[in-house]
Amino acid sequence: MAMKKSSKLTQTAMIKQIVRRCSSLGKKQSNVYSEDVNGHPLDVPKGHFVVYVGENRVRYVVPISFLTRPEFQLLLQQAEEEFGFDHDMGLTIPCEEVVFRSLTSSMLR
Amino acid sequence: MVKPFWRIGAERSKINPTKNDGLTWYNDLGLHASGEFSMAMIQANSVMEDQCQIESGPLTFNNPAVQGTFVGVYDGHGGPEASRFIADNIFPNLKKFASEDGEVSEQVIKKAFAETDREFLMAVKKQWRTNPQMASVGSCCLAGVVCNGLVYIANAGDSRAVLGRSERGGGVRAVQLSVEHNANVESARQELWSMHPNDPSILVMKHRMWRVKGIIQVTKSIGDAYLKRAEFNREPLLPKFRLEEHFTKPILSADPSVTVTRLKQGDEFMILASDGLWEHLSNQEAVDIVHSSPRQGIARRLLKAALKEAAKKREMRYSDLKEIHPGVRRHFHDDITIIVVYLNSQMVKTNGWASPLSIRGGNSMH
Repeated sequence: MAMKKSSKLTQTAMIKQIVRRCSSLGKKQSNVYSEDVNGHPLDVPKGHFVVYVGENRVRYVVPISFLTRPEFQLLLQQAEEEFGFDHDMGLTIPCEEVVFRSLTSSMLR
Repeated sequence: MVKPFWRIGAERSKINPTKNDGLTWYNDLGLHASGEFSMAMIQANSVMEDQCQIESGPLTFNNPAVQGTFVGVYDGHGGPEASRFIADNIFPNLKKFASEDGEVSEQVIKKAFAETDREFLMAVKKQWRTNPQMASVGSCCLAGVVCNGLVYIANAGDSRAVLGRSERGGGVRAVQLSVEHNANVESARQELWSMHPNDPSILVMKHRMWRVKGIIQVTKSIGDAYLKRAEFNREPLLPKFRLEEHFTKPILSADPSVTVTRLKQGDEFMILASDGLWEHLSNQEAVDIVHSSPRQGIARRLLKAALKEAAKKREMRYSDLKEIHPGVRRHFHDDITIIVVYLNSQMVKTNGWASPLSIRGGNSMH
């Protein structure tokens, strides 16, 4: 039971982390984010990358494990159809934020 | 200091076999007719579409005096068939025409491109009933020949060849030897508009990029039969490749832009690479890396520098990028092929003392 509870807690924390909105930063270009000495963006933990979602290009930090999920691959396919592979301002996902958030949180359940 | 020739044999102990390490293929150091070379490739697409080769030794079938080095980088699209076809056929075609003329020349190289394209279109025609999608497969083709103190660079597409030339004051300057054919390059657009003055939709901006007929960014290629002959632009080819209007004049051409450069004492090396490298590194950045690093594994070092840039653009760690599977990986970077060809001025002058060599890259990748 305890384990279940703790894993549930971790999940909640993860969901929070994933849907962490940086709306005040969302419209800035990726290269303005601060980096550590190794050139890693400070707010992106190991095992994660950044996508920009919806018309307002809101920035989301997501785990790379999402890349193996068919639902997420579908989003990337949409991105390819809409923008090709040339994303000079970060990987942009043409999907409503609400949809993106419900989809990604369901992927963690 | 120039090494005596008898030493070159001893240097061969440094030469490494080719290796296939997951998504990466490489040959860290080898010897061609006019110096050393290093090759590296990485796959991002679910099927590796890049191919490459280096051939060193006789450049004709009938005159052993015509020796040199041939280097090719083939960046395929729509599938690997066209780039593989080029790797199988362009060098034999070059040798055939060089044998007829008794030498390598700009004309010989242009004929080799034309012949390879013609043969590929013939193969497409043969397979039209069983495999019509072959009509939408194509490849950029970058070829370099070092022979008689000259370097010929022939390009159809958007791969690039850059020369590292020593400056008097120290350092090495990047000199681009190839002309690019991508609709997002002004000169390529002008050329296409002038060749198709009566077609207002020859170039269309789509996904924030210029595309030929709204479909493809490269303006020259081998293959892409559907944009060369109207007979291939019909059902059962996928609708996204089909044009509404009939055409009689080929829309894409396989005729390469050729530059010929006489090599000078300070010309240290050339980098030939697919656009996957150049979207992450500038000519000068790449040349600086080659100039300031050991030769062993230099192509892999460039590859790593490009991947680190790609990771930075996606705001992630290089160590995480390395774990991403092909297919989905294409959203992070393209297939990348890099060949670094060092130019030993003594060997360039004497036209080579290395034993004949033939290496293919990308063939064993999936």
